[in-house]
Amino acid sequence: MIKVSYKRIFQIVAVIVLLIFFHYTKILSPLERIIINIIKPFSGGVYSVSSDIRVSYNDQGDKRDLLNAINLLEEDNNRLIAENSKLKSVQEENDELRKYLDFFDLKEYNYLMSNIIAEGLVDDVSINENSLIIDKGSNDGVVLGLPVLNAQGIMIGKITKVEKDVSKISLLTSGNCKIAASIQGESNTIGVTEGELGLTLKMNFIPQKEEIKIKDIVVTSGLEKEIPKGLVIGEVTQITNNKNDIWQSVVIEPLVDFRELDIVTVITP
Amino acid sequence: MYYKIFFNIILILLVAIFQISFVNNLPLYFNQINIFLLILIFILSLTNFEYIAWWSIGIGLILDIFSFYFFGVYLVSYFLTILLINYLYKNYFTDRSLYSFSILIVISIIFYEFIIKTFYYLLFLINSKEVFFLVSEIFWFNLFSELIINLLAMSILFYIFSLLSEKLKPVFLIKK
Repeated sequence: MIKVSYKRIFQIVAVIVLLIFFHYTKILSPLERIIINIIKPFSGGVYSVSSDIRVSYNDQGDKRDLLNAINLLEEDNNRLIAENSKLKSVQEENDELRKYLDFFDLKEYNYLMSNIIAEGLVDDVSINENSLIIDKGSNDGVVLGLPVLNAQGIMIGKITKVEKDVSKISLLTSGNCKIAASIQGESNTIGVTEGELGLTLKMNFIPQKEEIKIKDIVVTSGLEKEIPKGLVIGEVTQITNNKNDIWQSVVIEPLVDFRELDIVTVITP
Repeated sequence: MYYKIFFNIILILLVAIFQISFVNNLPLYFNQINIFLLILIFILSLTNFEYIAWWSIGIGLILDIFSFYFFGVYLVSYFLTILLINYLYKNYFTDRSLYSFSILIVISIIFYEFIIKTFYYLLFLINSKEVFFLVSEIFWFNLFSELIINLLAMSILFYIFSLLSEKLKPVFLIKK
């Protein structure tokens, strides 16, 4: 039987223990920052490519239901897209940046643009969590609870963890992302949205006196210190309203496909 | 010597970027490919325990930096997994065949998932309303699909490695 020497195993265990010790005593911080700064620039680009593949793959899945003629047209279209991909990606990025500038200048928010560099690593541990990691952290002014928007100014989630150079966004569909919300056009808070199974949002404990309709737009109510009033969260798609109950509840569908995001904006105080 | 260390650090960083930013964002099932474990098994077949131990430390360190949770979970999980892989590879699955590699990847993924989920359950979820992962249907379904996709990835990688390297090709001793 071939054995690994215990001395060697002990040495490696010692290295692991030392690394953990150095991390919590902050001695490892400079090395961690170097690693993050090396990985960050490449991760943004690689994530973007992966995101494009994901979108193309999903498109392919939908195509199975279309007629052959449409398939042929789309294949042609894809070929053309591929031919122009490099040029198009630059143009799209430019357009997206312009949209950000237009929206955020109009609203006069302080904002911080950042690239998504990864999806949360351990999301599947808790099935009710969806998260993204961005390349801005406390060194850039990011703090806990800040809202994160897409190019059109639609809310996608909020900051739930912050490190020096990176931060974690819990998406609206995450169980741990709770936002005080109201119906667009109403001034009072009617409830708190909470992600459900990483797919939709729900809002429970809404008083019966509130009149809510399908297709109503749900927005932030401004009750939370860091989150401005009026940011769009989603659209009401289902209402559970029994006359005998004290409360009613609604299901809200986000207006954003979170997986197609490459760049996001953090609204700073 | 230093050149070799530097080369390995670059490789670890590239693999980490590929796993964290590319594979994890692929469509469902493809995002369950565990490049780290696949590569560690191949490296073990080409080198030795010490070599993959350092690789596991490098990979665990990067994942822990990006994980936002308790630092050290990935370091410990990967190290324990490679200890098991190394033991099985050196004592039972020694023939460098596709079958051996397939069994190794299956065992390593099951072992790794159990360790990491147990860690997270003990650290974060024990007081939450989440169900214990072993009684969650989603956990078992995800584990099954993860095994299938990684077996497929292992088969593809095995044949690519076989084409590139002589080390994975079968050797026959002929008595004259």
